[in-house]
Amino acid sequence: MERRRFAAMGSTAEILVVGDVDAAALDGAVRRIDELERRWSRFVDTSEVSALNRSAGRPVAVSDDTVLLVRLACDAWRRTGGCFDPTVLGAVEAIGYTCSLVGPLADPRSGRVDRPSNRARTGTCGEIVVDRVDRTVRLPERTGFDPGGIGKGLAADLVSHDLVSEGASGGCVNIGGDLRVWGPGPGGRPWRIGIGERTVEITDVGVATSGTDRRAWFVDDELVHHLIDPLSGRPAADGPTQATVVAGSAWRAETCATALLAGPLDAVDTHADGWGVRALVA
Amino acid sequence: MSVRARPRHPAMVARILTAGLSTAAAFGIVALVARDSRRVDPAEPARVVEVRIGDEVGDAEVRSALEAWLEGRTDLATGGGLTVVDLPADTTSEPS
Repeated sequence: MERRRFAAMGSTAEILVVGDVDAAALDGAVRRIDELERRWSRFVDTSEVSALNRSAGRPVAVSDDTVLLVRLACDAWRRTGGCFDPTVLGAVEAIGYTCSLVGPLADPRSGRVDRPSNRARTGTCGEIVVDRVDRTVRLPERTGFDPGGIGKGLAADLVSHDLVSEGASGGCVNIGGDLRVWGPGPGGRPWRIGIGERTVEITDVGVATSGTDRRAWFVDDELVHHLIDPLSGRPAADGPTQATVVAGSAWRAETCATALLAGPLDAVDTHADGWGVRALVA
Repeated sequence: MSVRARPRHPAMVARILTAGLSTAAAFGIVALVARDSRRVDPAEPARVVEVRIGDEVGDAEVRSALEAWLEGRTDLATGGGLTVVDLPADTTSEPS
C-alpha cells in the first residue's frame, strides 16, 4: 500500500492506495488538493470563493470545480432542510473566524481572535444562481459563501475519482478526517477507520466527523466555535458535540455531519434516516 | 388490463442516442438533456447525461460518471455501510 501524508486545507491530508498506481499519480493527487484549496479557500485573497464573496450580487466566472462546489452546497442545503447552510459566513466572521485556524488556534481555549466583522446576511442559499453552461455563480447581495462544511469532503471525492482513473483498485483519500474510501483495503479486506475509540470497517463510502471542540476560541471570555446554527446565527448549542456520518460520498457525509450539529440531539436519528445516511454522535 | 409497449433493444437505443448527440454536438445546434434509455429496472433512478453546446459525447459520459461517483452508495440507511471491529485502523476520521 502506498501512503502520502501532508498538510492541506488547514488540516492533515492522507492518501492511501492499493493497486498499480505510480508515484506520478500520487504526486498529481497532492497537487490537485492544493489546486482545490487555492480555488476554494476563503482565506486566500486570490481564490474563486474570495472573488465570489467580494462580488456578491454579481455573476462571477469560476472554474468547473467551483461551479460544482457551490451547486452541491446548495443541494446539501435543500437535502438537509437548511440545517447545512453555506451562507452563514457573516455569522462565522462576526464571532471572529476571519483567518485560518491552523496550529495553536485550532485548539480550544488556547487562543483568541479579536477581529469580528459585521457582514449581515440578506440572502439565502436558495437565491444563489449557478449557471453551469456559462460557468458563473452569483451570490445574493451582502451574502457570503463559506465552503468550510463541504470543501474537504468534496476534494476527497474528486481526488479519489482521479485515482480510480489512474488505476487505483482501492484507496482512501482523507482530508482532515473527511474521507472517501473505495475498493478493497490492504490485503483485500474492508477499510478500517478510527472514529474516537472505535474502529469501523467500511467499503465504498464517505465518512466525515464534525465537532464543536475544534476550531473554537474565546470572544469576550465566551468560548465560541465555528459550527453555526443557521436559525439563530450563533454557534450551535443544543445539538451533539460531535457527529460522524457515513454516506455515499465524502461531501454528503461532511455536510450531513455539519447539519447534525446544528439541530437538537433528539432529532439526529430522524434526520439521518431522512437524509439516507448513518450517524454516530456524542 | 393495461398494455405496456415492449422496450427497444437497449444497445440499439444507445447507438441511436450516441449518434444523435454526436451530430448535435458537432454542429453546436442544441443543448440537450438526454435520458439514458439503457436502464431496465423501473425502480432505478434515471441516469441523466447532460450535453452542452460544443461538447463531445465523451465529455458528457465523463461528467455522468463523476456525478454517479459523487452520489455514491444509496443503501446506507437500510443497514449497509459499516461494521464496528476491535482492530487497528488504517486512518482516522476526527473532527476538523
